[in-house]
Amino acid sequence: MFSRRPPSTTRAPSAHVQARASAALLRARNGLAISVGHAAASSSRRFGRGSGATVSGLIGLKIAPELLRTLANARRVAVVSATNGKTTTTAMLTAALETEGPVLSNSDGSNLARGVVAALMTDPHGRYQSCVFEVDELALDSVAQDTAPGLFVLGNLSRDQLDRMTEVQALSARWQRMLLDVATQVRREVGSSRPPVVVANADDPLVVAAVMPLTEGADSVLPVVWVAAGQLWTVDSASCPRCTEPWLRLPNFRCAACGFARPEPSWGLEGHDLVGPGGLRRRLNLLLPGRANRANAVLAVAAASVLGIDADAALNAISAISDVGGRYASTRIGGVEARLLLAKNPAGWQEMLAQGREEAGDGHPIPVVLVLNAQGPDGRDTSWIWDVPFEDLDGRRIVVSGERAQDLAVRLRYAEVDFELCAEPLQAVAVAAGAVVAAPLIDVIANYTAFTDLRSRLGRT
Amino acid sequence: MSISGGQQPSTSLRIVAVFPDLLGTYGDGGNVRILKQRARWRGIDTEVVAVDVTDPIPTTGDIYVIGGGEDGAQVAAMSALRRPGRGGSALSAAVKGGAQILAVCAGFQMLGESFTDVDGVITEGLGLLDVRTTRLRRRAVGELLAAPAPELGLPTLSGFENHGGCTDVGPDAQPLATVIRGVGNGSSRGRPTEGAMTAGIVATYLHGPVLARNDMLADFLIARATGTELSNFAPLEVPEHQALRAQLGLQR
Repeated sequence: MFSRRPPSTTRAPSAHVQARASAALLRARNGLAISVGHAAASSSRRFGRGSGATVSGLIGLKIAPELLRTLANARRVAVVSATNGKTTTTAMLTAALETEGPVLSNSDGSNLARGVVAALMTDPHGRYQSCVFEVDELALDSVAQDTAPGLFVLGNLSRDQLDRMTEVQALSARWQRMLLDVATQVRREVGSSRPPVVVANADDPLVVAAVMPLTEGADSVLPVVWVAAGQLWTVDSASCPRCTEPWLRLPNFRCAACGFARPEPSWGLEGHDLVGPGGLRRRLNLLLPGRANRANAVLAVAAASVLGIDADAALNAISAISDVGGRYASTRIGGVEARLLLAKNPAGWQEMLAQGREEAGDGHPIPVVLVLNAQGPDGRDTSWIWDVPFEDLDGRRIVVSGERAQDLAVRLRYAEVDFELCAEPLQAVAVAAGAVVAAPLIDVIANYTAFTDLRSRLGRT
Repeated sequence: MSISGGQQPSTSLRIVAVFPDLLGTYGDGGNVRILKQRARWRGIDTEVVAVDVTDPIPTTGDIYVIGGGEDGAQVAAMSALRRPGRGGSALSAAVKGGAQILAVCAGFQMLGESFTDVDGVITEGLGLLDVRTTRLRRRAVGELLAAPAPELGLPTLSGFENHGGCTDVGPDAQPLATVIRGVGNGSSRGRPTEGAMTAGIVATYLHGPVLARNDMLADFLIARATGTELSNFAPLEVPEHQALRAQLGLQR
């Protein structure tokens, strides 16, 4: 039986007092979020559960949902997203910006909102004005909303973890909506500071489809810098992303039905050369191997240039990078120099195998261990390995390993390349190195959880 | 590389991959590769023809493979197949002439009377299979295990499903298998079933791709396409398949 309460007779606090109280409450809540988050992170590290970054950010956001927005406020934020190359491009852009001052970055690769928050939580008082964040493709729109980036770097979109990820074309549409929202906000802010800039890969139709509307008509308030970063993997754009009509992919894509076409780039990768505005041309001599990394470098230099960094200074810093989060890092395992490589999806593997061919040149092809898992973060369905041209490994000594070694074994059987199977990765390394006489260097190509497991077992470098 | 196989009269086999770039999102191109290799290992002279969306589909194929794709790709493929002289009638004529079709996921749905996309838009299918696809309330993603129709003479079917479609099998077709674990077709009528088949069509929601996990299904299709029966084929010794199935807890 409910009784009606009499109306309150006390006077409500004035709006001014209310606002001060809310702000104080927010500050207190944020402060609590940061302390509790840090405590959770250190306990997570002590109990050996990962780097702790994810935990601190997750808890921080639970206590104070506005934490990301608060901590990002008044900073210069650049966000980098792509299916492949996010971590490397982020590391490159960070190195370029560090030539002029300290930069905050989520360099551990934790790229969801919680990872970005965790990075910011290490600097609650805003000493780092410049930030470069790697952001997961699905999380980009919400992270952008909270961090108001001044720079978007968009590299590529292809199929990846199809059991978790939205379909790739839907991702492109999401990015498009995000950018149009940003443009709308910019138009509303009369006399605002410089509008955000978008640096995008002109050779990826799905990226171009997301960004192109920014250059058309009433929406053209955000400057777009097109970079011809190239694209090996064209299968995810087999039909026009704009009108879905089938189209023939030429080097410069164009749809006969609706006119959607590759835009004119101002930066690009031509062979081993970086080309840029004003006739700029520089030979790339990176420590990181392969075409994909050259493409990442061009994107990073173009992005750094937007932020006022001289191209040569940027290139200098980028060329000194020898490993990214353990990728490309060499470790000695039982007397063998093993280079750890990460490849997570068909596009990434295709680049990795092309890199292997490029490096082999006319020298000895080096042995390779392939490590395949299919846990949640890897994508639980291993069907995608049938899109990888493992035939390109012919001539190398191959050892197949990981939780899904057997699926990979079936794949290689049909690729008609010789291989051995050894499910335990460290043993597989020993097997691969077993027959090596002349050059004790082997490659270990692993997908996501296999890579992180291996790194932690070898001791983080 | 030596594989022991039974003595077979040498025939030829033409495998047609239908729109592999548009409909190959889930690694289903592997099915074409597996069919090709196994036929060659059996001493059958095998050719693969990849048909692009802008090309007509030949009627001279022996096995047609249609894979899975995203919604947009499925609609684009359907419109390509409906163009005069392009596709649907070629497939129909080929099946009447004894060819086999292996259709996975989007391919499965396209062979039916109609399918519905995520926005509720209904598209007409090719009408070669008596099935109708609407939408599942929740996308079916995960391991799928199914007991094939006994007359096929096949062991348990295993794979990974990833689809938003709910497919109803009508009286003029038959389910391929009954579900042991997973969702399958998703129809709420009767026992949960997976896939559908007729004399010339094997359609399924199994990825893996399906023939990587179920090598005998590949031989079943090759046998039928070359005018014989699976029981006339000696088993191919490919230990990797046996080891994979053993790891999955399945018998040969």
